[in-house]
Amino acid sequence: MDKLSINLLPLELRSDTKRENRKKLIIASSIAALTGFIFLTLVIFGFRLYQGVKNSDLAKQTKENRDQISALKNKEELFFLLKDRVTKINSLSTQDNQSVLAFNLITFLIPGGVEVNSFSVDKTGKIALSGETNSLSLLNDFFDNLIDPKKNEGKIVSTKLESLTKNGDRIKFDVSISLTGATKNLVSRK
Amino acid sequence: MDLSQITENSFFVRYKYFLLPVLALSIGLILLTFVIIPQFFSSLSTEKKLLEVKTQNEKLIQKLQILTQVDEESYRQNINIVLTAIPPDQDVPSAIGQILYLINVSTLRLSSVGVSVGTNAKESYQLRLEVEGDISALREFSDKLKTSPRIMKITGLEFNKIRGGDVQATIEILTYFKPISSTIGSIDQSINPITDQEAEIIKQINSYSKTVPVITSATISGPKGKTDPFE
Repeated sequence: MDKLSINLLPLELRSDTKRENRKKLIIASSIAALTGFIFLTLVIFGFRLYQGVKNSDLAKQTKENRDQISALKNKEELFFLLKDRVTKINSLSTQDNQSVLAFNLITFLIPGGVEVNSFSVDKTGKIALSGETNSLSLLNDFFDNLIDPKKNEGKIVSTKLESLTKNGDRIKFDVSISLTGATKNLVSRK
Repeated sequence: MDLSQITENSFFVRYKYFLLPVLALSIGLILLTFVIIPQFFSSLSTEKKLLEVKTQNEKLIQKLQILTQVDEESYRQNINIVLTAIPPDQDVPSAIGQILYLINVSTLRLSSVGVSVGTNAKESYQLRLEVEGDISALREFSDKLKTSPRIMKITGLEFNKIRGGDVQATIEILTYFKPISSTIGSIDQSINPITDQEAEIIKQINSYSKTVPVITSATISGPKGKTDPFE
């Protein structure tokens, strides 16, 4: 059988206890908030202090390293001189040399029986070539070589036949050729 | 009115449950506004600066390690090698000497040679050669120029056929030099070690100078002797 619980305290007394508890809660919360703020302030001051110590340590280390590097000035001078020059040599050696590329390409593509009368190449890799032969098939081979990307390794962008004349057995021709780099240069200038 | 009455009626006692939270909140707000928030942002910027100093310090340590490993003797030898590739001044006699040697080896015939020396700022100048010979000799010259110790580049090439299958060629060659810098940069400037590729370049130049003699101004002018012969 369940027990009966009966509160015989007067109603005023009960509401007084409730009010008292609420007041205690307000005071406790206020003290807790204040403690929290003070704790946060202490934490941030502590962190700032740690940063200050770390900063002075790093500054000390940096100074020591700088002093050690200053003591190695002779080695530093030698290093800079060598590095600077090797870097320059490296950058020069990686640049394409259009003139040599053009010359080597043409001497490679031109068949034995075709004679070169004149050849010129500018810095951008534009070639002006004139030659002659007495064999139409050799001339045909040469033109095939110029326009076939497999044979010229895709290094020739365009070939323009400027003139073609036949004088007796001799066939003379003038062609202008643009290399891949020449196109790149033109595009980059735009 | 006795003391207990005054105390009970005082402002604080009457409003103590209201004043305490207000006071706590006010102190909290003051701390938050004048201490916590400014110090928080200040600590963030300090942390950023610390990171920069730390990075700088790491660079210095790396630089120190690289410099400690520098063997002065081998570096001096390597510098002498790279100075033959790119001398500190225009050194025209050396450039022409090398060209003449290569022309001779390639069995070309030199008709004329011209030099257009520019300013030091360009760090290069042009040599203009007029040569005669067959195309294979011209090709040999171009190949040998690539593997010669002094760095030169053919920038223009023209040739016309003359008698007996020979050609008359005009070759423009760019020759490089680089004055030695008087400054080495600040201590804080980071450095990168010599890479394997760069070490290979030094080796290559060294091997080139064994096949093509390096002609320097000092070699051409020869020993000068005493400045005062009566000493």
